[in-house]
Amino acid sequence: MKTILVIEDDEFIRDNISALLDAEGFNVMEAEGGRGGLELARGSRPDLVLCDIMLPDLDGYSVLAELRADSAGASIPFLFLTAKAEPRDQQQGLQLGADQYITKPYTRRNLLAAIRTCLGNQASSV
Amino acid sequence: MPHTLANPLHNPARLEALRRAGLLDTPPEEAFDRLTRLASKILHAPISIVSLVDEDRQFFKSEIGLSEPWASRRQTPLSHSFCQHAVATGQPLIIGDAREHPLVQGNLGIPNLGIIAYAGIPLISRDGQPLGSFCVIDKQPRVWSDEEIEILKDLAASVMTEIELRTAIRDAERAVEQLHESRTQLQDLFDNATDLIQSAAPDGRFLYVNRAWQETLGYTSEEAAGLSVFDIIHPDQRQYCLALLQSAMDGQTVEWAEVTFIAKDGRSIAVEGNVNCRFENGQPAATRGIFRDITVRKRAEAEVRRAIEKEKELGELKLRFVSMASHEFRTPLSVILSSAELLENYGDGWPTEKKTQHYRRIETSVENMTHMLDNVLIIGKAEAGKLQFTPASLDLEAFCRDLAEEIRLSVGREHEILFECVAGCADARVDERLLRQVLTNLLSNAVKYSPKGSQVRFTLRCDADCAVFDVQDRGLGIPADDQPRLFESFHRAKNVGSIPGTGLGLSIVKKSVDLHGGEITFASQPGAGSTFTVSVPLDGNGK
Repeated sequence: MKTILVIEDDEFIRDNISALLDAEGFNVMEAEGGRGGLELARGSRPDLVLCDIMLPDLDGYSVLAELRADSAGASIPFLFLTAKAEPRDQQQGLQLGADQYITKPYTRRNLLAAIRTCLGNQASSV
Repeated sequence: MPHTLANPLHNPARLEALRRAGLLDTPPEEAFDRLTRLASKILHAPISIVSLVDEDRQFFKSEIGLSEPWASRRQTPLSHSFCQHAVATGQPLIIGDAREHPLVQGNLGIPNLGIIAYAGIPLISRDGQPLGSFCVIDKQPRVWSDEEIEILKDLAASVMTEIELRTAIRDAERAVEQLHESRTQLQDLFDNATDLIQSAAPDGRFLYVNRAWQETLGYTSEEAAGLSVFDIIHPDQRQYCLALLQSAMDGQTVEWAEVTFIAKDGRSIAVEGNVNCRFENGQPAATRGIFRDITVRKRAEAEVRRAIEKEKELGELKLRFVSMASHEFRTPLSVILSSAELLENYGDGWPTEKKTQHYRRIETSVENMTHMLDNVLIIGKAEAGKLQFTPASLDLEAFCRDLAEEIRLSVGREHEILFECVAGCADARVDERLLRQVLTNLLSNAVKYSPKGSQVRFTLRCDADCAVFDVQDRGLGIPADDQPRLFESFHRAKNVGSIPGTGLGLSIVKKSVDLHGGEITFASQPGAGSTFTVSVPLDGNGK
């Protein structure tokens, strides 16, 4: 069973994503903030990180950058899920090394497809 | 040369000098009569004349010994004139016997005036123009000695002195007249100028103010005479004005200055103009200022500037709204969409409470969005200046208590809302609707940006003039960088994360407090919380 770490500060969204992933057969870990999320990612090595960008303590860009700097975290697929919808935000996210960039509001179909793509990529690269 | 060919008697410069002497057709004067009497007596001649030779006649300013009708007429045509020849040549004319002299033997002066011997000295003005001649006449032939001619020349010089004296006096009188005339013209110019013209003594007392000045400032010239420059200067500009006058008195012309005058009725009048100083013997005698009333222009300029500024602000506001909407609506929309999809795809097997939970989320998110849109509408109204201030009597303690309860039951369910009334006011004149906006926004912000279970303290403290409201939380706090822009529409602090908000709440708070004529301050430390303090006057006079 694949484990997905969800870093999202909005309680309802975090909860709804978890409910969806849970229903789709994933194991879910949650974090409200960037710092907690980064610790979890480093400690538990999830199969995928799904991360918001605007977070009160450490923003999503920094979480990604720090994770990519780790030897252990560098290869974990990383997916941004954010309200930042400007093309330049997306560009910045992908340049930092995110595998996918999804803007809110997301649909179930898009989110699941993006997650499967990320996991599939990783499977083939292993 | 044509000039010499022309009749020298008709030379315009000569005739002009003659007119200027101002003696033609004037009554006899003792000063001249004394000289003709003297000449007649010393030179033993029966007739002596001061003759002024005009274009077509000779006029006798003084004569002695002429027979009637010439003595009364005091003039003859040139057909009778010997003097014209002295004038024409500018040389003395000395004749022993006119009947044998080729120049005058046909002259009617011989038969009519009885002229036989003649000695005439031309009267030449200081600028070289011959005006007439001073002559002595004998009714019998005689030989004029050199000594007699010399005496005659001396007396002619005295005549000329008298004439010059009169010319000088007349010139002086005319100059005074012209001076007076140009003074009147200048005065008229000053009086009728649309600019404000003033002249003041070095100590600031007014010496002269023109009509435009009087009409603009509402003082008569008599009243102005009792005033000083500093009486009509805006109090804030005394120092500036003193410096202006000082530099004028130091000899520098102040080419451009903008000052504010205060009219008799207290109105402020913006003027621009220049200031200089008149010096007498190196000492400042009077400062002079010429100003234009630019109140209307300034008002128009300010209005245009304000309109442009407003237009710019509204444009910016629209841009910020678009950026806010595209951004802030995505979080509640995500909740709505994801809850709906969860219900649709997996809801069949869910227990009722779990379904209800998702319906609630959808409702809450819609409420959030509606609230954001309401705020946008309010701020739009406020920016357009259409937010009304309508004060009415209100019991503040009861109002605050109810409001705290409302918050406790809605957004503040998971926080501890503590209300304390230190001193109430049962009859405050405030706008209840605006005050509700102020306190609801501050309280819901306090809840929104602080951890669940934490305290939000809300305090009311009234004194005789003011109501002071404190709202204190133990939340995120506001980063120092964001503090200066806190009340700007659509501005949100960097540390808000995904906490939904439009960035309008505090802007609405500020505008509502402003409409009350009140003040808002805050103290905040990131991580430790924020305290907002609003004070609002109780008199309901607004701003």
